[in-house]
Amino acid sequence: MSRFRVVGKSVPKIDGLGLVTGEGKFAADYSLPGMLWGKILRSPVPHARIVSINTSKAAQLPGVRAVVTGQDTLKRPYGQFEGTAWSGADMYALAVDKVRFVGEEVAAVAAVDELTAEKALDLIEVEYEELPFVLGIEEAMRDAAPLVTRRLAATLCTGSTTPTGTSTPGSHGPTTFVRTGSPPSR
Amino acid sequence: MSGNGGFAALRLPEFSYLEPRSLQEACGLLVDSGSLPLSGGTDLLVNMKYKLLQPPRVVDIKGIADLALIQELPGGGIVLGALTTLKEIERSALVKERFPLLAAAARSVGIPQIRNKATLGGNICLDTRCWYYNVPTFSRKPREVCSKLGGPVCHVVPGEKQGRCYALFSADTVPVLMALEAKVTIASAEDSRVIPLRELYSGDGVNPLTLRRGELVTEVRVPPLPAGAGGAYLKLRERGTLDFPILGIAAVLTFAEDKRTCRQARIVLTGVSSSPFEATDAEAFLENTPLTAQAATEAARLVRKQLRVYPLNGISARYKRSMIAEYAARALLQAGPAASQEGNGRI
Amino acid sequence: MKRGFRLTVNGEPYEVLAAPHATLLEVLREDLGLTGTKEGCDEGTCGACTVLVDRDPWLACLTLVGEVQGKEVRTVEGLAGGRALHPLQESFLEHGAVQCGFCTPGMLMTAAALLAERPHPSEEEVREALEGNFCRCTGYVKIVDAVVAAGGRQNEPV
Repeated sequence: MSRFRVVGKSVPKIDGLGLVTGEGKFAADYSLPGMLWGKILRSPVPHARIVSINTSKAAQLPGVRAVVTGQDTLKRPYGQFEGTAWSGADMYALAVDKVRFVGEEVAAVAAVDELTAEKALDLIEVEYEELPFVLGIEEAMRDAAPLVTRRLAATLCTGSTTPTGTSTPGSHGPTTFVRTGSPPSR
Repeated sequence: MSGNGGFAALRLPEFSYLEPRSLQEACGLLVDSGSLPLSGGTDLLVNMKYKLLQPPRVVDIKGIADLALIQELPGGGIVLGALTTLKEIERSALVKERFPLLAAAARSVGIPQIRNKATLGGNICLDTRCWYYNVPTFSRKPREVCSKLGGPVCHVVPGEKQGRCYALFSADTVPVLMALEAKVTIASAEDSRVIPLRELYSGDGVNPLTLRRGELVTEVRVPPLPAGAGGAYLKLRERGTLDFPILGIAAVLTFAEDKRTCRQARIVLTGVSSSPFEATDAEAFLENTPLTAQAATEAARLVRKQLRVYPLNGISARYKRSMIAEYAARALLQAGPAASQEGNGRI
Repeated sequence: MKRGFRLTVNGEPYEVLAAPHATLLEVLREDLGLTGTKEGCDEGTCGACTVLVDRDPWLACLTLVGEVQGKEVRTVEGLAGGRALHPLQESFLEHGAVQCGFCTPGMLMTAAALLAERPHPSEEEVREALEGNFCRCTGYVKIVDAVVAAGGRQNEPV
């Protein structure tokens, strides 16, 4: 293999030195003058309408520089496969009107240090009107199960695999793969 | 890996840090209800990061002299200071020679980095655990405040009578020490008292210790074992390291001169109730009984039968009951005269 | 209320103004700029924050700044000592024991303490010593190989 410089050779890891000495920096290792600490407030419930959010106490805490909610954002949805027929663009930077999973981002703070940012989160008051939720595929497949997103209406997709591996809807009987929706019309 | 759903970076709440230099000074500071003692801190600091405990004053007791010794006693027993680290116990030639079970139990705790700092006193006084309790604030938010935090419900057995907490006793050194009939010295600013280790535990999941404010465990005394005694400590946990016990069982058996008949059995479990559990029915059965495989199986059945087991911490009651019987049988046979006096300390 | 704490880190004396509730991990990373020690879980379950305190591996996330007064703290930045690289660091690079590198400082410090105590550990001994350092990338094999290989090379006491 002597005619190769890389193939079959042990090539040093380009960032290895920094990693074994601790000098190489990960994102969390950077520190800049005047840097603030951010924290996200997350939904503790799986499905709910956001009735109200009161950020005034958090904003008044000394050391807090900003508190934002979904109302402060462009409310532009983003998601996977954007621009395709199957685009799942229904995520928001901060929840708008509803939360749809435990942990969904509801508000954000920026403060002079991490402990202040944590305290500020505890001062944000969110009123949730809890809605029914599903845990697991079987529950999600039941009729009238709550939908995670209204953009995709619920229909059953059946199909099976032909010997060539392509999917032919309905050609080999009702083998259910997945409950999904028809592509949204534009 | 961690129980916090990925939300790392847990800042400690604010507190004053006090460094007493004597036992008297430390106990005096601890009389105050806003003070908690810090020894190794490997459990306390985690619970403080989770905001389960937010004492205004943390009293670092590591500055107290002479509480970290391991010494032989006349007659063959040993005394261990409460500030001895688990690593020191794990590595001590004296402990390994006299009570290898104890070294094994200490070895089974946590990971090496934790054992380098965690103390015997801290393990003996370890708080009870429950997966609804031992999680950060965020993970507790969706549910009502639980009994252990002063709230109205227990999430383990929701329908049951209010207030009863099912958090589990989870220390590893304690079942061994109790099976060895150890005693502890408890000091306050004015005096000290010596009690059998079992009397340190209340059986209450919320406040598992009978220690009063201003008291500290200072040392543990382990009496010598008669010749030919055997013992084992077996620990079941999800992984081979780090985890607290799903269950731990210590068996110490003494034998008659025929080396077959069990004279006395001490069988103590951790991870199965809110205090260390003494399997007294099994112990009574084994008294003056030859330790055959059959006897071990029957004794194990009695251990299992004497316990009321609840599903908790992701472990079903059925699995736990099966494992209690299985591990009890194994521990008894390992403690038998054919085996040398060694515990394995880990699964 | 912040107060002064005197620390010795990598052989250097520092006087740090810190709150009593600051952990050693926070002080190292934020006050001293020594970001080699990583915060993985902040609750004692990953080992990424492992540093040496008087030659013993400790978890910096479960250590208060006050607890290391009068003690010698060593971090990955101080591992090489006077050399370009510690034999462990060389061995990790040679053996491909580094992928994302996040667990690496913790692994190195634990391994360094092991080699200082036991210069020629067996594979079993290495695995036991590293029980408290978790890695999501490598599957551990190359890390263990690297530590075993480093055993016996010139190791300065840590």
